[in-house]
Amino acid sequence: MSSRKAGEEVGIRLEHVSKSYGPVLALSDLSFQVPVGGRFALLGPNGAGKSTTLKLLIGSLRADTGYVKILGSSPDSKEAKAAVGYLPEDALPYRMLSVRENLEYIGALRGVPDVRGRTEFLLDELDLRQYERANVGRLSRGNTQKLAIALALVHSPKILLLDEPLNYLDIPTQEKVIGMLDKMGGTHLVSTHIMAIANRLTDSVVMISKGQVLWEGTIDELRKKGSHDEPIEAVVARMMTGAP
Amino acid sequence: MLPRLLKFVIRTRFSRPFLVLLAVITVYSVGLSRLAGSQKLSLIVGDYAAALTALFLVMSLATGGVMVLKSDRDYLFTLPLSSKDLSIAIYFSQFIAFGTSILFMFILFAETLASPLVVVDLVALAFALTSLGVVAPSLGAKTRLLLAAALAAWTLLALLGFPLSPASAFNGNVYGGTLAAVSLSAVATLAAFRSLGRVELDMMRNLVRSTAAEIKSPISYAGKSPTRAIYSMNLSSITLAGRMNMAGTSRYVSKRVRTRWVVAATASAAIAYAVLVVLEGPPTAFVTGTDKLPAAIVVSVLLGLLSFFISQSAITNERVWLSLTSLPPPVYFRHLVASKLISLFLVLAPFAAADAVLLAVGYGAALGPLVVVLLVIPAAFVLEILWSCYVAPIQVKGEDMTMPGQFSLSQFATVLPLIPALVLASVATLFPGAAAVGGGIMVIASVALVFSGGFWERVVARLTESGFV
Repeated sequence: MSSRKAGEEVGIRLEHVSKSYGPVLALSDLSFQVPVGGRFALLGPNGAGKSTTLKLLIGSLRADTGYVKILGSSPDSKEAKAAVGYLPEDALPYRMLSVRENLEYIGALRGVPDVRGRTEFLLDELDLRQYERANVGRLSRGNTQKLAIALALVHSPKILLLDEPLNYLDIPTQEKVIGMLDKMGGTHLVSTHIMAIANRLTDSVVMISKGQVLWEGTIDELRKKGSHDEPIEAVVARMMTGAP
Repeated sequence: MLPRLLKFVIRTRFSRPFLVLLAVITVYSVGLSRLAGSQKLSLIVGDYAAALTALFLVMSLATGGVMVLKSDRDYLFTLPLSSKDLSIAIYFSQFIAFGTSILFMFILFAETLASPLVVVDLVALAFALTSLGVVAPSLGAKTRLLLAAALAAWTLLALLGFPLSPASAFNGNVYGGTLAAVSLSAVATLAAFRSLGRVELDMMRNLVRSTAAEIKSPISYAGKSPTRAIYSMNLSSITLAGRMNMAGTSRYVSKRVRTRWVVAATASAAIAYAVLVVLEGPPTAFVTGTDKLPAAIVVSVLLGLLSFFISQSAITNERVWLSLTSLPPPVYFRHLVASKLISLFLVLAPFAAADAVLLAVGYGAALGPLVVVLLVIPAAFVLEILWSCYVAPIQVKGEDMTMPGQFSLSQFATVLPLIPALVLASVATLFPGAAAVGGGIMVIASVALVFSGGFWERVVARLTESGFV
């Protein structure tokens, strides 16, 4: 199953990527692509290599073999850095700064043309206005996550890499974030354990296990792999564990 | 139950190599003291000891805390354990981490151990250091500051020959000094055990505290270029996040302080330093007085230690998922280090000015301390940042009274770049040329590393693999 049709531009590409941490092999000959505009979920059991994949895509780690490209450029390049917005799992903003200072500081680092305007927009959009002067070290986990999402979006990225983006958010905020991401253009790769989130935020899946691609396809195709009333989670679990 | 609990608490807080090293240092220093015999402590060394004692006491109060892990909060504190046993176990682990600072003094002043009373004095000081660190979080910032100032003043009175200061034993007043140290230790230890009895309550209070705390004077970064934003952030305020004692781990507490307030404090200290040098004797004594003229040397050493504590906060509050995805890592880190260095220069500038004035009025030996402040300490500061990034990077992730990890040998190694700086600071007054050459070598090493792309690439990998977010 290929994630790319002929003639499509590629947003994210990993080709034969391997990565080890000492004796532990995290990724082994991993290859997949996400076309520009694609909304893909990165699924996999614990230790499958999802977070390592995202860290390679932002350039924090280097592949031992193979290569990684963002819109055709190396993740270290200025072009890739300008294009990518990244939200790690349990993201932590600068805790010694206020909410507004965080947004303005990262906006300035990223060279956002209208930092103030963008900050105002995100403060309102994510209901952070009342906390704009608050010391981030004192925010609740939910509000910290909202700020982290705002920071990942501050430069209106073309490529979004999100690791469990809805963690800690209450249901109304989850809906708000889903709505925001829906409205945004660009290419999204969402790492998650929760199939319902994959279903809401994406339309295709790359399933990895032990650092290798296990399966690729659309969520509809995935659903069809189960019996009539079998929940999609059960299908995914069966595939991940290799059960019949 | 207590022995098992003690073992568990120690093993969860300290790596085995770290404990082995502490044991080796203890055996070495005690052995050295036996060999050294009962020589009288020289006055110069005694003044060092007094200044270091004051610094350690102040640092314990300023950045102390109870070493609690997240797993303690989630599991250990929920077990049906005797609060007395728990307090003793936690206190003992604190003693290993904080009280052992005094081991460095065992080495420096080993010959004093030949007198049994000085051993009592040092043990009392170790308990005082530990206990002040335990009490610190329950005190308000102002109380802590006042208490630290009072303790520093009391301790430094030993330099003027006062017999009843916690450091008086180092200046020949063994009975009075020991009495003062034991008294301080008794009061602080009683307070520490009272504080440990309610450690869970203190933690809960910390966890549920209001989210309304606001930044009083926020800085706007709108309209600034990326590099201006970095300098603006790092020059406007200084973040203090010490790794406690020379072997310590990152503290969970970090404090953003306006640079101008820190400069005001160092300016006051620099004036006091200049006055002290003048009071000590005429310019000629500054050069030749080997029996009693340590102010310049002691202050140089203290400034070296201060810069070390500031350097350790450079990376602990960094957020690589934001900064390193915004700018190429070498570019970001170079500006970060440069901005931290400028900020250090601002803090040290009053001392450079004081040395320059002393030099101008005839105190020729102020040249050495001036070289230390302008060359040695800044170079060591940069090397300390780079070294700690590479060897033992630790990220402060929350302020919930939990420490980010075990004390380990690699964290102990972060102190290595400080050693040549302290040696140069010690000899600079008599050998300014040696300090200049040594400082020059350190500058070359730091510049070479800062401009090495490969070095930063390895740092990024180290940070990522160390769990930096």
